[in-house]
Amino acid sequence: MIVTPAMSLERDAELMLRVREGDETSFALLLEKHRKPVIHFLYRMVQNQAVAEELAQEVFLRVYRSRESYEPTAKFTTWLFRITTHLALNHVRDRRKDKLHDSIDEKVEEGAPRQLADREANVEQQMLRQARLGQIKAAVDELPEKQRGAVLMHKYQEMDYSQIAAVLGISESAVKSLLFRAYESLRSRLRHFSPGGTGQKVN
Amino acid sequence: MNCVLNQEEQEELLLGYTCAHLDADTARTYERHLKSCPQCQKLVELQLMLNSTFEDWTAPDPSPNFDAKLFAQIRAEQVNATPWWQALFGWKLLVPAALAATLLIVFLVRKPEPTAVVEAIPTEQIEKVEQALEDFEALHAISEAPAKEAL
Repeated sequence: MIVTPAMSLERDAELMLRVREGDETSFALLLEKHRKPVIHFLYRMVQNQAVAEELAQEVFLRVYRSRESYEPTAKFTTWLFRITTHLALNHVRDRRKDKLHDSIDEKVEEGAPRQLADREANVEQQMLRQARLGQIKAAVDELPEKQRGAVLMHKYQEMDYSQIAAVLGISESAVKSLLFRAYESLRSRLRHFSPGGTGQKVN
Repeated sequence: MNCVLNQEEQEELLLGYTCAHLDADTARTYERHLKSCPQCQKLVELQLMLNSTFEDWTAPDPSPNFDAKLFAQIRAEQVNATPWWQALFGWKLLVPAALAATLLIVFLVRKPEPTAVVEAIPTEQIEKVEQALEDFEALHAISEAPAKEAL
């Protein structure tokens, strides 16, 4: 049987309503389905695996705590990402306020070259891709927090403008504006990697 | 050559085209525009490079103990949220325990009843006692008088 997005929506909301009635198995099913997207989104937002998991724990705790007041008025993923984004944005703001500079988690980078090596034999191309990735991670980290959240939801959660607007609590035109500015900044970081670019920053 | 599209149109078509979200007609029109617009060609090239770079950005799998840690936190919250008397007695014993405690409090704080009624003493008896006391004081004064005179 093919599961359509509409059926998926009904299923998630139905599971959450069962959680409201005290069914913990339904909560475990929701956790199983949404754990990875939430952690991955948070990981790219904060660029630190331990912090991402800590925040994800808080996200699912809040989901569980809200079970009695849950009403399926919005799509479940919209509601879930509203909680997730709220926590992520607060963390990013606090980190900026404290002027703490967390080191970018290098664990994933250790695994990435191996994956690239499988795909590409050319060492130079691998290095170039790694350099581009490094630039993009740094550029994402420098984006204002709402732009960052909007780009990551658009890119990895494949949310459309209206869903991002519902998550962030802003208008669709404001989302477009956030995304356009964010993508413009990110593209400018890659300009020197294109054939017409200077290539000066590629080490 | 300057692009005929304004910045918002450029961005919207660019994102839609590179994410394959444009309908077929709009995509064909945009492709025709691209052939004559080096500025938009450059943007498409950079956006595709950006999309490809995003695909390389993998995220680690969640820790194997993620769920266990979460459920432990939920259990801890449930225990903390349960009042100690409920945890100790449970609901079935709570009602009789509360009833017994109420009765005990009522017993301890109730007003004590008067224990005895003082009976009225007849006036004659009072007068007799007063007379006896006066006689006793007179005798006492007589017995002390010779001692004072001797001094």
